[in-house]
Amino acid sequence: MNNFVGLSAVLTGFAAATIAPAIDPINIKAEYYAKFQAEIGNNLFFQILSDFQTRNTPPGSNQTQEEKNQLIGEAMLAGSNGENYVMSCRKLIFLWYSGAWPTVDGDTTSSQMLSAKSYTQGLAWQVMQSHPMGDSNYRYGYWAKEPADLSGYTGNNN
Amino acid sequence: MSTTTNYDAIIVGSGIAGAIVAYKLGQAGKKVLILEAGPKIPTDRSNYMDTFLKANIKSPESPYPPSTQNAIPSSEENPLGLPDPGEENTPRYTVLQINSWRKPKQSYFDFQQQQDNLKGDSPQANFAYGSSYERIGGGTTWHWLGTSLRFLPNDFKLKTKYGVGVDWPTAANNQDFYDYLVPYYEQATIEINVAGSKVAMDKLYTQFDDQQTFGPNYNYPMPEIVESLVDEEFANNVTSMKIDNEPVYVTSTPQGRNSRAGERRQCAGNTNCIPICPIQAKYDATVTIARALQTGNVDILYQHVVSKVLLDPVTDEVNGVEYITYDTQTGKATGTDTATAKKYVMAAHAIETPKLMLMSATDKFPNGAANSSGQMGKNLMDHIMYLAWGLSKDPVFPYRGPLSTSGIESVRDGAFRKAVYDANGKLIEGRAAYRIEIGNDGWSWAAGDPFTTLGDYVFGQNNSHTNATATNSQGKNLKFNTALGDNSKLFGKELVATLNGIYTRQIRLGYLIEQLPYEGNSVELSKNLKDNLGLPRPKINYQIPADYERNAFVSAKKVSTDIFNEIGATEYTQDPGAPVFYEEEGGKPLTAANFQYEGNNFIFYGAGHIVGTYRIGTEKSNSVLNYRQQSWDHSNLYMIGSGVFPTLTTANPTLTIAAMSFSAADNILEDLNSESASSNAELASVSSQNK
Amino acid sequence: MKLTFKALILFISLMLLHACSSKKEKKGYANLPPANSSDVVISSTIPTQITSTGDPVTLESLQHDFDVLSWQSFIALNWPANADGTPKENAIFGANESGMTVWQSWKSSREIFLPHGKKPNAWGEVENIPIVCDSISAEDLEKGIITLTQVGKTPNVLDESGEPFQTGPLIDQNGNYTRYEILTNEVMFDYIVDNELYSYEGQKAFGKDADFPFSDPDTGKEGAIMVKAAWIKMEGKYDASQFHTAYALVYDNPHEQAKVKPACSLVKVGLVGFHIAHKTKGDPQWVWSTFEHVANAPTQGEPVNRNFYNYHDPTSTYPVNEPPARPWNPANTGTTPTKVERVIPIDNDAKALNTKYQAALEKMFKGSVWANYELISTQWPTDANNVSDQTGKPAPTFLANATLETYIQGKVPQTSSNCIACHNNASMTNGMFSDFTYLLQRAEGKEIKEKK
Repeated sequence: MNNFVGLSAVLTGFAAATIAPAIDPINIKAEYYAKFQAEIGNNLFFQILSDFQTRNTPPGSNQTQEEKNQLIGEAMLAGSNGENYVMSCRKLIFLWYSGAWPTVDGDTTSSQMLSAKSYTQGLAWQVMQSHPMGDSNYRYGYWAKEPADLSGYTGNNN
Repeated sequence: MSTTTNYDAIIVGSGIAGAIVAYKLGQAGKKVLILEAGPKIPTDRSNYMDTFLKANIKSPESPYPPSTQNAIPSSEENPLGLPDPGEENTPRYTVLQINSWRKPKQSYFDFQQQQDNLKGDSPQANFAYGSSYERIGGGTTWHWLGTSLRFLPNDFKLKTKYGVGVDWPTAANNQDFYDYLVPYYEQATIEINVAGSKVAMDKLYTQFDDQQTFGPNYNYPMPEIVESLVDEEFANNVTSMKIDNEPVYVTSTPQGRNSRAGERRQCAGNTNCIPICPIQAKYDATVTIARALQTGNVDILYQHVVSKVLLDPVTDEVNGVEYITYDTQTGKATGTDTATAKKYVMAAHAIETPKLMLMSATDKFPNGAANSSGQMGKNLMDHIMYLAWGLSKDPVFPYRGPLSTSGIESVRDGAFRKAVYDANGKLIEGRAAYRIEIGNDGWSWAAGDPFTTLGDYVFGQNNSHTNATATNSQGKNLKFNTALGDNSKLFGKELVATLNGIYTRQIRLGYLIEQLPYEGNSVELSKNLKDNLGLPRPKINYQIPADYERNAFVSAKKVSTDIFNEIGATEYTQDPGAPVFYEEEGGKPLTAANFQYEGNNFIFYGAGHIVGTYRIGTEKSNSVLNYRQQSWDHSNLYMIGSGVFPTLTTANPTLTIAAMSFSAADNILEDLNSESASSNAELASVSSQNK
Repeated sequence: MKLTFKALILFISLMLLHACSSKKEKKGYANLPPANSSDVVISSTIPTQITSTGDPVTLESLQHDFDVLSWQSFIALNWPANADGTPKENAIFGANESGMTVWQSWKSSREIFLPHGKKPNAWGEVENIPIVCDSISAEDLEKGIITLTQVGKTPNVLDESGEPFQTGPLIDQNGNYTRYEILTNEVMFDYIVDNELYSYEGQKAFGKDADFPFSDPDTGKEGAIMVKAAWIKMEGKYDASQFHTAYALVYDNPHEQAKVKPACSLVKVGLVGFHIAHKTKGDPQWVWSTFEHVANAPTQGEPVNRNFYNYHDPTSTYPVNEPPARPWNPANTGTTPTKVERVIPIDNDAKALNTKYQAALEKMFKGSVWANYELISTQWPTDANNVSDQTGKPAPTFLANATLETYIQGKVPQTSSNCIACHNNASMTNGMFSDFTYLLQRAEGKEIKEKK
């Protein structure tokens, strides 16, 4: 699970502590973990996570974690991994951002929503500094003011 | 539910119109029976909400039964898995059916055949109707936006002032219909508990020539909903524009949602008014149904589909309604019966109501009940909408607050509405009016966002048109981040920055263009298609036959570009492509709402404003109802809802539906009381004779 | 020795936890004092913060700690009270089961938000009871008073009979309406009075969000606490000896529904449901505890094995969790009883805690009615300062009391009962945030009538 969360954080650009906090009453990671595994199959699933673990060494002495994450992500998405491997990683990004599992059909993408909960956990709504349509925990009038900084939503310096 | 109750009124339909009449009659001590085709109003909206949250496409109907998508496995013929309306007991049209309008196993509506040899700009082209409704307890206000504008006084006099359409009838003593409605508008405003600014409305109303102010001595029950940052972007930057000589400025929209705490919660900006407000900050008719039931004088029977209005062959009065009951949506009918009352009120929205009346033909009324005029089902209208969208210069943070909090109302009226024809009858001047709705919903309607843009940057696609080199028709660059390659695939920090940069700038304008009444735009009974109860489905004939409305599209297109220029935005409105009217082997898919005009390709969207199909009027020969919403043909029959409107006007219809329902209630009470007064007088005179 | 070692372990594990998180991780539940070895504390002291049993702190350990806080609060609030509302020293908890409790001495909503926005009387001073209750003879009132307290306190007025947002009334097995009341502690009352939030004009002048004082463990000062109680008439099928009872003025309130006529009677009632909301330091979304009588309703998916339920007749064919049909009127008798089922089970840890406390209460006083109550759960913010979610990502996500949120139990976001999410929408008449209480919107003004 730690590798799954770490990989997801690197690929999505959201901090691990944001998408899978230590105290986590929502636990969307468990739902996504199971879906990812079921969709891409055990072999590819464990290979991807194992590769991530191998690549996820601590940053070098002159390297920030952010820079390290960039390199890990590039390595995970490199064409040399194989088309299926890379597409699976990209689908994982889409899953985290939307709560839905995508089907890519050439030029277009369609998707199947996993659950009511996954819809409310989509990161797309966070990256736009807002909330899922239909699920606002803000208060009256918030829309007349600017939202909090993007970094407050992603947990990273943005 | 007492089967032995003698009802004063039967109301068919439990939407806002039926609810208001039931409430007023119940308050006055009258016994009312509401027959609703759809399922019961749930105590807890969680089931509807859950269906919505799980839906892949969050269309206006997506929370509500019967299922709107994924009902059956996806196939090439039916990628969205739409259920077969022929197998449902209360099927209805949805926007997801629009692209399948020629497929009877997916589209509830039957449509008229296309004529041969149409050109792209042919006025006789048929289109899929753009709007939908619900058949459930509480009706279509479950998914309305909440916009509660009044019509303008000039809206009621299109023919006299501008030479197009028809005038609304006058009320008693030749009173202007707007003036007649003013006290009813006030009742409607209070019932819906509209949040609005009277100052803003006064400013608007005094702008248009020789019109009175908004109304005497009253105020909105709650202060206006605060404007959004998106509104401010337009309000602050569009300061000296004019459209056809009318000034352009932004007006806060009076809306039926709580700006203050009340019996229901204050708006929390779920940005989901359509299709469902999870906390019921937005008014819906279940509020009024509850009040009606609380009077103790109103009964409601759900899953009772009225299938025929029965006419007395001698008196021409309605003497009953037949209904069919069912248990499950796809199961067999469980029974039929008849209900009777003194007065009958049809309130099943503007498609199902004329359908019912057309199903009720008799020898004396061969064209359907209440249809000696032949107008039943005719003059079907909608606000046909032009959408424009773009990216603002700096972030304005859409997807926050109600779906729309302001609009440009100041352009709804003016000399541009006047039609001028040349000697050959060709329109040389004049266009349909529109109001401009400012969207807080980003590109969710315009482009299926946020998931469309998400797909672009995750999979290297370009359906948002931000992810590849291109220019718009003004020559402005469309690629959002020119440092990236075309069809770039991103991850991590770059993905965050790009998505954030795009989403936070998404703006959208919607033009609600007033369609005029045409007899050829109509609801009929399908000859072939039936629902699971064996009732005929509606057949829709729908065209945009005149330049008058098409000119408004040309105007909307230009105005959008001008407005986006004023605010420094980049326009992303897409050319929808040429219409495809005929299916060809290996050819392009049929279009549903595309047309050409003056060298432009246009597409229209429905606003959800279904009106006109049983209009009020001054003459029995060309209207279905008198101004009191009483049938010319059957004196104990009333018809309410948006079907009564002779013209669509420039505003969303619900507040006016509500106002007219209050007036109908008064009329029905007046008739009930005068009848009992006169029959009491008779009794008195009889008994005094017998002394 | 033992304490120090435990504290050291806690300290180390918290340091590790902190090191793993990113720079922007919020403080959360660090630096908590360690718990007693036993969960059970029967005392009149209202706790101002949780103590930690987690090592390291986890979601489950914190939930347990908050549940313990809830039990301690429940007992402290129900402690037998002196006339002035202070807990009786040396009282045996459970011995005087229908005496006035600490919270019953508090001011209720109707005593704070008066007609025309009049300023309430001082704390401890009696507020006028509804005019229609005046007709109850002084003798009957005396009996109520004698049962409740020595001097001065009139019986509580139960003036509500509907669940929130017009979802419906809850009908007991005798066909009577369940009655509700909401009360605040003195701290919360003082904030309202000092800032004139008891009136429309006062709220308008205040012009900003409300911000009630929080309980501070460092100073020991009590912050704002509000409670909501559900009661049923002790007659017919109910055995009063199984309930905490009181004499109350049951008032049919015409403001609740059209067609309700004012009426009042002095009635012996039994407690079936109890909410506590407590604003503590570090929990700006408050901490929400909810208790029920053990016999209220069976849980879906669990055996229906009681001989008698307060709100469930297994032989009834009425649909589950459905309110009666309108018109609703608390004066009605013989309404079909509601058939209630609990939708979300009480979690195993809370069940175990309930068993512990109930045994201890029974041990403290044989036959204690308090052993007939159970904690459902406690809702608390796991991430109070989250900018994207002003409800602070509460745990558990959904929580309902079967007697107070009967009809909205479930797990659907935004529509199913969620204490903090719902109260997050609360505001006052000036449109500003009212700090998680719906009370402030009840303020009337000199000219402003009842809002819709």
